[in-house]
This record gives sequence, C-alpha cells and structure tokens, in this order.
Amino acid sequence: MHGLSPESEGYTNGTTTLAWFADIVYRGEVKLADFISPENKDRTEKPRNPYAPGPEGSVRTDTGKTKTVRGTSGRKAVVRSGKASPSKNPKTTTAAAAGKQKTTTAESAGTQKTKTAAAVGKAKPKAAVSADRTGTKTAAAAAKTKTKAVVSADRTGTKRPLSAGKTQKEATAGRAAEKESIRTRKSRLLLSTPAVLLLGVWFLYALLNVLVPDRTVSETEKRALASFPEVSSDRIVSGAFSEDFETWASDQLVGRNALIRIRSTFGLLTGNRLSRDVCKSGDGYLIERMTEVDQNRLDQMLNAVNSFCARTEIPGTFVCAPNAVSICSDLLPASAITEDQGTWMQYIGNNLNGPVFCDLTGPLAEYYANGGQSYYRSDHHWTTEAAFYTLPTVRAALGLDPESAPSMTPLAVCNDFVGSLAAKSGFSVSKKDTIFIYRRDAEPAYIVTDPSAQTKRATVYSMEGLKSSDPYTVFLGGNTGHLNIQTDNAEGEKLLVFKDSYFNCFLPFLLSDYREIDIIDPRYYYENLDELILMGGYDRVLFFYDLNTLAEDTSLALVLGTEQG
Amino acid sequence: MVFSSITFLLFFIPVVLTVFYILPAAGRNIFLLAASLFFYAWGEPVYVLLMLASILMNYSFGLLIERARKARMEKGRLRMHLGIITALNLALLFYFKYCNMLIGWINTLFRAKIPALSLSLPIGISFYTFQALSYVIDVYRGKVKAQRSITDFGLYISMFPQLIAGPIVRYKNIEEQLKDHPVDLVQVRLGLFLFVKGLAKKVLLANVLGGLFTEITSLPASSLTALTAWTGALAYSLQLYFDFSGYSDMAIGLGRLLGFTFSENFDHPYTAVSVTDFWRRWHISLSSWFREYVYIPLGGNRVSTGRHIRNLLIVWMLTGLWHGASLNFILWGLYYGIWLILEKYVLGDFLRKHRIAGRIYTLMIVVLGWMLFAITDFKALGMYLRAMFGMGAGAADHRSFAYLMSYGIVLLAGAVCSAGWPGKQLGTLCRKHERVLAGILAAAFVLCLASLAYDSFNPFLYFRF
Repeated sequence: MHGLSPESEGYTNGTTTLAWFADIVYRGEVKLADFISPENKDRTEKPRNPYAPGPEGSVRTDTGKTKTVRGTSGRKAVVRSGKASPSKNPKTTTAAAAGKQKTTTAESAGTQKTKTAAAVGKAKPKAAVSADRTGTKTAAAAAKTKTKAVVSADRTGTKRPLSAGKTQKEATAGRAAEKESIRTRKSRLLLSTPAVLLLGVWFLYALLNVLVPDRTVSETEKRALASFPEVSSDRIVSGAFSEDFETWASDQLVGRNALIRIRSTFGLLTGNRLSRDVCKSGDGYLIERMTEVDQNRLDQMLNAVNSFCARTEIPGTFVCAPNAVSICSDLLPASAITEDQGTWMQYIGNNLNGPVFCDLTGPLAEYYANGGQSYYRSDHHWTTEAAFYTLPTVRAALGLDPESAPSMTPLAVCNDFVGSLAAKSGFSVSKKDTIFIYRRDAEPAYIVTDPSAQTKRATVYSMEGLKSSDPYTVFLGGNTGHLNIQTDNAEGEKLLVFKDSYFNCFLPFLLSDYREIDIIDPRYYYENLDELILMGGYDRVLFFYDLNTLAEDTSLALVLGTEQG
Repeated sequence: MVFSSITFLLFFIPVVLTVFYILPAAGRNIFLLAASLFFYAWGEPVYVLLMLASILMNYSFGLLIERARKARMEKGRLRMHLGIITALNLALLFYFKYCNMLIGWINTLFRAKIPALSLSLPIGISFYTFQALSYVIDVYRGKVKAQRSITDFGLYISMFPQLIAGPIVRYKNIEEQLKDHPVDLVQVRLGLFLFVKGLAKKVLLANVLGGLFTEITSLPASSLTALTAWTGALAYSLQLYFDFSGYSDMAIGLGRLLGFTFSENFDHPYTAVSVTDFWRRWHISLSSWFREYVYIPLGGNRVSTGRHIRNLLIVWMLTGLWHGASLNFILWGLYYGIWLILEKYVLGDFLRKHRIAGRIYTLMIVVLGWMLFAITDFKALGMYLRAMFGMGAGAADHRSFAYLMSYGIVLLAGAVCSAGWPGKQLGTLCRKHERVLAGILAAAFVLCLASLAYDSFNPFLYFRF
C-alpha cells in the first residue's frame, strides 16, 4: 500500500514507528479496516448511534460519518456532530460511545457508499467485495466467543425496524446499507479481535489461577509450596503480607512447572547453559559448578579441624571427594566458569596438619576413565559404584587391614532416579539413573539408634526414603544430626564420623570393621560434642566430605570449636 | 506493587481493567483513584498517607493560588504562596530522600556523630513530587486551571501507571484527558502492544543482562580483564535502558488501556549522534521538566555565556541529584553538564558534520557515564575503569569468552532492539499481519510469565526513586 510508510509521510529519523502509527490512525487517514484487506479501504468506520433520531426523510444508516479522503493532511479527525475535534488531543472514534452525537450531513446510505467508492477511485467489482465481506463475517462469527459487552451492544443496534412510510426502494437500499454497516462493524471487530482475544485469554488465565485449588507440595522442586498468607494488620503494615502474597501467587501458578521448563529452555536457546549454578552438560549430565570460595571461612574450618584433633588426641582421617565438575570436566560446556577443584584440594591437603588427608580424586578419575559412572546425571551425589571403587583408598587412610576388606555385590533399588540438580536448575532430564546398594553375602547385625528421636532401626537403609521424592535418601533416610550404630563386631574400634551426604552411601562398606560408629552431621547437630567425646573413648575420627559442600560449610567449625583457645 | 510481578499481572490488572471497562464514564476516575491508592498502599502501607497528605496539600494550594491570581493579588505575595508550597514539596522530598546523605556529609566533614534517620525511601516520591510541582507552578503561571475535583487531582498525582517510575506527566498534558478519557479498541490494541513490549523488555532483556552485570561486578575488580569489564559495562547500559524504557512503555501502554495518552519517554537513545541528542531521547519527561521549571526560569540560553554555563551546570547537578542521594550521582550529572557545555560551544559543528563519529563518541561517553552511575564507591569505580582499559588482569581470558558465549545472543538482541530500524520493521509487520503480531505478543507474554515463575522476586531498578 503506497503512502503508508514513515518516510513517505515525511517522518524523520527521530520519530518512532509507534508515534507514526498512532498518528496516522488518529488522523483518520488510514481506515482501520485497511489492515484487514485493501478492499475495505473505502469503508467508513464509525457507526452512528442507532438509537438517536436521524434527520427527517433520510434513511438511518450505521455507517454514519464522513470520511476524510485519503491524502488529506492535517489533523482532520473523523467529524463528529459537525464540530471539528480539538487538535490537541486526538479523540479517536469510539465504538462504545453510546449516546454520542452522530452525523449532521444527511446522506443516504446508498449514495454515500457510491460517493465514497467514487471519491477514492476504487473500481472494485461489487461481487468481489461482498465475497470478501462474507469471509470476514464468518471469521467474525468464529471469533465471537471472546467479544466483550461493547460488541453485543453494537449488534443489538442493528435490529431495529425501518420507520414506516419509506418507499420500497429506499427500504431495500436501507436494508442493504444496514447489512453493509454490520459488515463494517464486524470487520472492525475482527480487526480488533486479536487484542480483545489476548486480553480475554489473559483474564481467563488469571481467573483460572484463582479458581484452581492450591497445591501443597512441588514434586519437581522438592519443597512445600506457599499457602495463602494470613491476613493481619501487623503483617499488612510491615509489608510482609504483600511479599508473602507474591510468593503464594507465584508458587501457585497454574502450569508452574511447564512455565519453569519453558524459561529454562529459552535460556538454553540463547546459549546460556547455566541455571542456578548447574550447567547442562554433555551426555545428559547436569553438573553443579564450584562457586567462589570464601578463603577465610575455609581457613576457619581447617583450623577447627586441626585444633580438634590436637585437643582430643584422637587419630584422624580427612577424606575429601571431588565433584563431577572436576572428574567429568570433559562434559562441561565451553562457556562454563568454575573454580578449579584440584587447586582447592591441594590447598586443603597442605593446610591440614592434624588428620591424615585422603584425596579421592585419583580413584574417582580412574573409575571414570575406565568407563564407570562416577556421578549421577541429575544429582550432585556420587554413585555407589564409584564410592565402592574408592573403598581401598579410604581403608588405607583409616589404617584398616586390606585383607579384611568386604566383598560386596551391587543390587539395583531404583531405576528412574531424577535427583536434586534437576529440581534446582529446572532443566529437563533425558536419561534417568540407577541407584545401587551393595550387599555382602553375610550382612553383619547392627542396631541404628537416633538418640534425639529415640528410635532404633535394624537397617541403615530406608524404604520410605527410597519411595520419597528424593530416592537418594534410601541411604540413612536422609541427614540426621547424630546416629549411633552398634555392630556385632566385638573386636572392632570405635569410630566418630563428621560427614555430609556423600558418606551416606559409603557407610555400609564400613559396617563390618567397627564395633561402634557415631555419625554426626554438623549441619543438624545441636547436642554437646564435648560430652560425647568424654564418654566416647573413640579410637578414630573420620571427616568425610565432598569438596563443594566443604567449601561452603559453616557448621563444622561451629560444632568442633566448642572449646576455643 | 511492581509491574513485573504475578500479583500485578494476574490479580491487579484483570480486576481493575474489567471493572474499569464495565463502569460508566462517570465512575471511572473515582475507581481509578481508589485502585491507584490500593496499588501504592500495597507496596507502601504506611507511606500512602504521605502521598495523601501531598495530594491534599497541593490541591488546596492550587485552588488558593488560582483564587489569589483571580483576585489580582500582588506579585510578591502570590510568589510567596508558590514559594511555600514548593518549599513544602521539596522539604518532604529532602527529608525522605536526601537527609541521610547530608547527615553523612556533615559527619565526615565535621567529625560529628549525628545519627542517621532510620527511614526507608517512599516509592515514587521523586516522581509524584515533581508532578505536583509542575501543577502548582503551572497554576501560578496561569497555564492551567486549578483542578476543582479532589478525586481528579488525586488521580493525576497517584495514577498507578506512572506513579512508581514515570513518565513524569505535566498537568497541562493531562488536564483535558482527566475530564474525558474514552477508550476504544484502537487504544486497547496500542495499549496492549506497548504493555507487552515493555514487559518483555524488562523481564526478558533487562533482568537477564542485570544478572550478567551483577555476576561480573561480584568478581574482584583486579581479576577482571578488559573484555569482561566492557561486557559488564555493555550489559549494564542495556539493562538500564530496557529496564527503564520497558517500565515507561508499560506505563504508557497502561495509560492507553485506560484512555490516557502520555507522551513517549524514550526514543532510541542509543542511536543518538551527540550527547545533546542523547538527552533529547533519554528520560524525556525528566529533562523537559527540568528545562521548563529550572533551566528556562534561570534564563536558559538567552543570557551571557557565563550565566548560560552556570545554568547548565546547575540543571545537570540537580538532574544527577534527582537520580540518587549519593555523590556519584551528582558527579554523573555534572559529567553530562560538562559534555553538553563542550558540545554547545566547541564540538557542536564537528558532530553535526560527522554523524557516525558522533554516534560512536556518544556511545563511549554514555557507557562510561553509566559506570559512574552504577558504582557508588569511588575506589571500586576506579578499579573497574582501570580494568576496562586493560590495567586489571589483561585483555581477555577464558572467563570473558565464557560470558560472551553464554550471553552473546542476549547482548546482541539487546543491541538490535535498542536500534531504530527494528521498530520500523515491526511497524511494517504490524501493518500487514496483525495476527502474527498478536501471536508474537502472546508468546512474549507467556515467556514473561515463565520468567517470573522462574525467579520469584523481581525489583525494578529505578525503584528507589
């Protein structure tokens, strides 16, 4: 369509397209119907109020207004009630302008139509035009469902009787004009339908969010979802209510998981393979990167460990396992930025002078190089098989006899393991993993006691954990502050363990070697450690961590450092 | 309430718009006022009273000044009336925004130990105070009639589209619209388009680039290479632009959905050919406010050169100060003041002849200026600038390339969207295939919802104004 570009209208570089667009619509130089099909270019656009009386002797039409001829410059907006509209604020023609004044010019519908056709000089055959209009009519009918009240108000206006006393010819002309006006309104309606549709869908979705009942737990995110916040005047005044409301609203979004998945896919499409410190890597792996280490915090922890060993004079072993970001670094995307775990392992090794340091990088790298799966694809833990492969190294560091190493066989307990990293990152998981537990031919007998909860169990495995949303909790049922295990090995030593969740799958390998094991997870331990040690009579203390958790740990130093100085 | 939040998008807007469209024209303003007050109270349950006080105060003084004018009160006394209300408005602004800064300066300079006020900054106070000032000054000048209806006046001050982050609407631009602001489907289309466009700019571009900038600035500055530092500077420049212009687009779009026409606040500022041109395109409502109410009363450019330079420096110092209560903002304002003076007296001709060189020069000045704006601590700023010029950790390293790989597409999209011609192409698309555009808007909206679901809390950068 010629004439419809910013440059041709004389707009300079500085004006935005939107300003131009708004301008030409408001000036009325381009009919909105143009946007559907060029044929409708001649149509006038504003209906008259069908309920207002028309001039005597004329046939009421709904096509109302005069139209400005294309090419007229200046702000000659569509004329309303004979007055020029103010040039300051272009008032647009209003579909919902009930009760507004209509045309003064008494033009009959039929003549008006031909006049407009002639004025613009379009010589479109009538048949083609009406065929086109029927097309728009059916489309309008299809889209009718989302129309607003405004529309129905317009529609009802069409059903009014012709005033008596008109000639047959005028009546026919009048009816034809009415049909014309209906089509115009419908084509204008159709034009606006996308916007109305969008608004309608948006508001319907909002309504849906209110109507659908709240969910309590998110399986994929492995956490409880916020419930509607309590309304109290203090909470409103302090601003806590509005924060909680927002949390509740976003937690309870309909289709929240799908939305999160959409967003993380979009992020991947823009080349960002990182989401909440988890990199989407090769072979379906999600690898958590190592973030910047707070060296002061690390030093504090190492000092606490050293002074603990010196103070209690119990021989210690410090086992530290690297994470997937170190061992499976070949799978990381090129854009991954991570701390180098090797450097930090060395740093820890150099600064530990109390316990014996045991770095598991060697055996794990070996296992991975030989084709074994060292880590789960969607979880931050190591696999039981990889842990078992490191057993000889750990036993050596613990001072245990290599001859008495247990022979164990793996047993799969879960075949569709999707772990914590999937939840954390929002990335989809293509390959699921298998969790193995290792069993001896003859399992030792033991009792597991939880002193705080006062419970006893006969197994370190937890079936509830296996069936829960985090199957890794089959090992030890998750993390508890203090667990005590007494075995039937009367000659074995007494072991004290400070650990994180990496030890949970490793524990079964040590059950036949010790008489009693006390396992402490400093993150959840609130008892008195000194008392435990005084009463304990431990032969060995074992620290068992993975590097990511260790580098961020704040609890170990707190728990160990009960006696400062 | 923030525009880019689930509360606003799925609770506030559907309810308000539905009720608004159903209501007859007579009831609409009152309803909008109530909705705007609710909107403000949601974010500031206590400071809403402050805004109400400001509304009452400015409303009464508006009527008072007009009555005094009509009664031909002598100029001096009339001016005193204006002085009182201006002082009241500015005092409120000063107390809540700048008092602590002044206390800090006094403490540093005089080794005093005045305790800081434990106040939080009321949201939008800079915006609505300036709107109120524009009203009373225009009433004093006789350019507008004082608003008789307190609800309409209250609506002008507190209307939720432009309350939190502009554009600063001058009363005379909205005087007629307050009486009658019909909405038709054209407005709805434009409004919806602008709103979704602004939302997409904010959520899909600004927030992502903001994340990149935060990550880069959290690294120790001595370890930054030039490439990383420049990537960060570019990210911040684009973030600030999309954040602010996105918010303005949303405000203008919402205005249209309610029948109001606000003028544009941003006009592709990164295509400017000189710093003067840049400020005609960036935050237009603020610079025109300062021009109208500070620069021109001071004499503008119709005075001697010395006075002119003084006027420019004053105006730009105030512009900087408006943006934040901290020394780096004042220096940022003065930085631009100096460049504008240079352009007016020295560089202007050269820039007019060499537009490409002008664009490059403008981008350099602006990007460096944003670093002064972004980093409040001077020592950190110094280190960052040094890193930008290679004196940090060298030219480039693995980390620089990693950032470019992860964020390159978004940075490129940002650069493209800040240029002028994509908008024109969009206009062409708009003309030919409305349904395609509607589809794009719907997809963008869903993507924005998805991003909001993905990160729950999402504060807007210019929030503290």
